[in-house]
Amino acid sequence: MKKQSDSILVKLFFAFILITGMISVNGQSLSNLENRYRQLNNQYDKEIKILDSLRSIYTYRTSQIDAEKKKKNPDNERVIELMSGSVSISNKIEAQNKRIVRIENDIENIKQQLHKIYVSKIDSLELLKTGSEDEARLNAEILLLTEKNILVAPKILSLSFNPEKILVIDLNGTKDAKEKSLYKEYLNSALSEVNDVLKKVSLQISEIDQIIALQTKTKKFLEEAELESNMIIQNQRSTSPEIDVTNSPAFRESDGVTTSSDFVSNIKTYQFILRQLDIQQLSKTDLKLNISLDEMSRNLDVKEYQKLLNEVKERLQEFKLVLANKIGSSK
Amino acid sequence: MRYDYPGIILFILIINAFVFPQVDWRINSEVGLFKSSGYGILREESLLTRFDGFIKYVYEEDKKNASLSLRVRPEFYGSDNPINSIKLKAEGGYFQVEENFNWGLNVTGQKNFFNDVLFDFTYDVFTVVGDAAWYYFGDLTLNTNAGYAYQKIKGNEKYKLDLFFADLKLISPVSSSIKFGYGFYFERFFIRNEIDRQNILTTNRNDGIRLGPQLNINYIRDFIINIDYRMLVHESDFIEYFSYEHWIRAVAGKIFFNYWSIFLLVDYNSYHFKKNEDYIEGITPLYTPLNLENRIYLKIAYELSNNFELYTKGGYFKDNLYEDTFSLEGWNALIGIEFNGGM
Repeated sequence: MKKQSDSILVKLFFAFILITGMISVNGQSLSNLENRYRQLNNQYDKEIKILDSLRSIYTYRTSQIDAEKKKKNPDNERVIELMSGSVSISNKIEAQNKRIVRIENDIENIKQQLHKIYVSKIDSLELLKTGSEDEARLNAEILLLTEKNILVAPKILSLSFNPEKILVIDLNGTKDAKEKSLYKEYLNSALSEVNDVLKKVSLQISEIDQIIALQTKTKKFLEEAELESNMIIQNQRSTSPEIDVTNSPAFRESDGVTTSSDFVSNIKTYQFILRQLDIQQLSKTDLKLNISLDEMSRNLDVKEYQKLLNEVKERLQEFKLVLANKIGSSK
Repeated sequence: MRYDYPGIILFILIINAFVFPQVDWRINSEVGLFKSSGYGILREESLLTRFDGFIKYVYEEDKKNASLSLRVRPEFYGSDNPINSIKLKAEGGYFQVEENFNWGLNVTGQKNFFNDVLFDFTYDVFTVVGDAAWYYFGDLTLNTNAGYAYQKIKGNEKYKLDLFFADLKLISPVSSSIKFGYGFYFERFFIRNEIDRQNILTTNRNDGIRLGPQLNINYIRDFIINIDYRMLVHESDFIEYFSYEHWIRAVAGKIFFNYWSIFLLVDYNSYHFKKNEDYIEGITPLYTPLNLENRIYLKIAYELSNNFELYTKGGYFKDNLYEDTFSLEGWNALIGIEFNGGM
């Protein structure tokens, strides 16, 4: 009996190790990833060229149809022939677009993996550098990796205008009409950008509010259900959905679903915007999100992210008011 | 008179809740119907009235937080010869965020008292759980739990259960809103019972293990769904190879039309025990009397305001006690109101 149970234990242990090993093997080597990245980029360029050609043919066909229709006695059969050809090209364009989106997603995925590897390699080399006699070689390696990393690192967007300069613009004090018109255009474009970011932030706030509300209500519901039962031990934490970074929301962009690393890059972007808008450090914030990118990707508090978004929204609204006033008060 | 004390405690705590801002609290009142296949009054359809008070104090610092909560729930089944029950639950937790891992500790004590004209029944649970999430493996998160639980049921018979458990799970994000977990669960249990038959008291024990792989899938975005599955192999003094259990727990929920929400919980156990020749039905304890239960629990709520919620909920359960020879099942349907406040 004991032997049998020991044997089950051993089998289960090895099965578990095997499953764990199989799933966690995501360790493609750096050179493999770099090759794949290159291949995908080449493929992407080719597919884009094909798409461009298809579009040119389509444009040519539609112009032919228009030309035929404009004739005094259009040849209907010819129009039908051209139209059916156009439909087939249009379908090809659609299929080609889908293929390109798939490649873009693959490229994005590999970029994230490469970014992580480069960052960790750079960190390791930096550590080795201290006190090393081979500093020059290590520096060269770090430089090379940094260059590669720049190409794959997530983009951090920010406001394209300088908020501090916006504040000092006085349209009414500007005499030159041309200068005034230029300033006005600058303010209008800043206002439109602020509106766009505000829209995006508001959408993300509503999504994260929903996620937090869902988590809170689920927790409450489970607490109630636990006490509902008289004969049950179920309060081990693993049974309830937890709030951790793997549960962290990433947000739906207009063109698809973002990944969790985009989520981290969103935070960077908003921190950057917040700093841009926090002119002369007038308003202090109690946000705890002033932490490194690596730390964020691992260990993020969703409620802190919610606070960050609300703070960004508030600052943007204030700035929008200032911009609207400046534009509106100009004579 | 017996139920005055929890009411007073709750009242004091709620008064405190208005003074301290880090306090979260809620009070519920529910009324509805229940039916159970138990004995006496529980065999009939009758009225169920329930009050529920919850209060939680949370202390938060930069990367750590501690909390203490108390819950009191008096229940009144039936009206002529009522069965009264009170459930008390106290919970303390501590959580800390480190650079590459988070860890926490949770202590829970729960006491349930039931009484009617014939007998008193008590049910106690105490658990200590330590858990940690490790972020050393790229996108994968390793969740580990380990703990101890003590459970005591005292009525005409007495049951005591001590168990030590460890739970290991790797969480892998499939996409931004879906994560997949897989791991292993291990439990060592010690059961004691005392049964009085015709004034002859017999004491029995059963020690064993319960272990096996586990899977989890979690989705959260527009709605939430979390499914846990365990395939657990049992080995104890009164069963033979190959005895096993399927354990499933699914939770789903959605907020809709802004103020409405719906949540569903399904617990399902199916067990396949091969008893050995030492097993005596109804006398020697297996694992079943203590925590195998199938149930469905549904709640639909409407938020009247930030502090008020109206809801209806229904539950169905079926305990297969004594290895299918006796089962206890029942359902309830209630409407309630919740008043809450705090953080």
